[in-house]
Amino acid sequence: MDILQIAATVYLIALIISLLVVVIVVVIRTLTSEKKQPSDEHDIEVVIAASLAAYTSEKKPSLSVKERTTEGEVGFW
Amino acid sequence: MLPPIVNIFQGLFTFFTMEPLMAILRLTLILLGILLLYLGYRNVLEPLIMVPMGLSMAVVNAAIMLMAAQKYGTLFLDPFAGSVTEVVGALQIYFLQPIYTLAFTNGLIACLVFAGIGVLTDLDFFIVRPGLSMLLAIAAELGTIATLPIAYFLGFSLQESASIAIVGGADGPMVLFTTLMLARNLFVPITIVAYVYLSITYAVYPYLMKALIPRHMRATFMDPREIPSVSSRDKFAFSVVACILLSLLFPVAAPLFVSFFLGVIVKEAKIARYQKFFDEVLLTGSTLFLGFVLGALLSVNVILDMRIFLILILGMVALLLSGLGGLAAGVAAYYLSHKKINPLIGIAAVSCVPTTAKVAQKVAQEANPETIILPFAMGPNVAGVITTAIICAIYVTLLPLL
Repeated sequence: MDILQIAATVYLIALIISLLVVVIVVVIRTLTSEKKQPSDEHDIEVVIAASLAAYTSEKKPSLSVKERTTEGEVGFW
Repeated sequence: MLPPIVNIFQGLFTFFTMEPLMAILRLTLILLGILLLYLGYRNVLEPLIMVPMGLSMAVVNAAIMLMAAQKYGTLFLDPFAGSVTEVVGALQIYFLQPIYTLAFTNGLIACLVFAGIGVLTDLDFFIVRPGLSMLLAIAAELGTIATLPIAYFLGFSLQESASIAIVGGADGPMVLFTTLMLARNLFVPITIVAYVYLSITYAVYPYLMKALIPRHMRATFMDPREIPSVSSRDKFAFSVVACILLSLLFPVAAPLFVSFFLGVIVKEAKIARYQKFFDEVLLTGSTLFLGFVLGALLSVNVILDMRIFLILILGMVALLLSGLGGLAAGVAAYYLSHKKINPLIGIAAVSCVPTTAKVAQKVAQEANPETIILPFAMGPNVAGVITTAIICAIYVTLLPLL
């Protein structure tokens, strides 16, 4: 097998597996979103916040990601 | 009666008894170690790795002495001990040999670092936009793929070429793992080059971004409040399924996958004790020993391989190509999203966690102080870790079969 063919094959396999990973995420998201019910006790806070947001016409701020990722984690790996 | 003074101050006098070229190279390595130590101290290069590495690099070259059979050596470690008898003998002589034999020869150190990375990994944006994240990441693997034929044409074997090319993934544990699996003879130079360059990305990538991406594109505003919250359950479920599936596909790379996802799962399961252990003890300890042992491997009698200069060039090529691939995909995403995605998140897909994401944020904020792209950049950043692990798995599985 030619070296360029090998490189192309590796890239193609990597692309296919990456798409498979995307499919896994989409399936999990779909399955879990279907199970969410407004009456679920764990989601009460979310429901209240959504209601308040709708009432005040404001988006519910969700800065948790930003807060976590800007805490200043050091290092590189 | 006192022994000859030459035998008392062996480190000093071996300078005059060894080949002049070796002595000059040894002195150069001592000075280079001091330079790395200083740059780490000044935070120009990553201190977590450069401080222990610079120190051991300087000391291992200073402490060269005459060993048995009038050979030059140190009491640090012998990376060439291969047979059981040699290893058992080395364990009794060299003080770093237990760590090297236990954690380096089998890739354990890479897995420990990877588990620590898993605990630091934030999957939120990746889970929200998996398609975008993975496509950016696969584009940012350009160097990991394109360097393979380049290295091969320059005279390296296929397996050595793959070990060099994986530097383009900008992921230290992956370089360690691939090199140990495919090109153990080049483990020292490739790993050293990889870690030095990963440290340098912090300094070089900003210039690449500013040179290639116009200011108005770098200033694209992205609002982190638009990222919907993702439940721990989703992240936990993804980690379990992806870990099992990838291990099923690539059993040879299963140690890497399970280590990374173990870290993520521990985090998402909110097992506070393990989380603290992984982050504060495991990752910190592994990084310290990684840096220290890598520095100790840079002894003049170990590193005397002229191919290291080629590896230096190829490592830089791999990282530059990956950066270019990521930025090109970022620009494509910018136009395809009708100018709503900051193209700089493309370079974050070069998976040097979390450095490239932080560098992208820094450059974006210089162009527009109000934009916060870091949470968005973490998606491709995490996806980059996964794609590099996938390519590493393909290399270690496929290439030995050819």
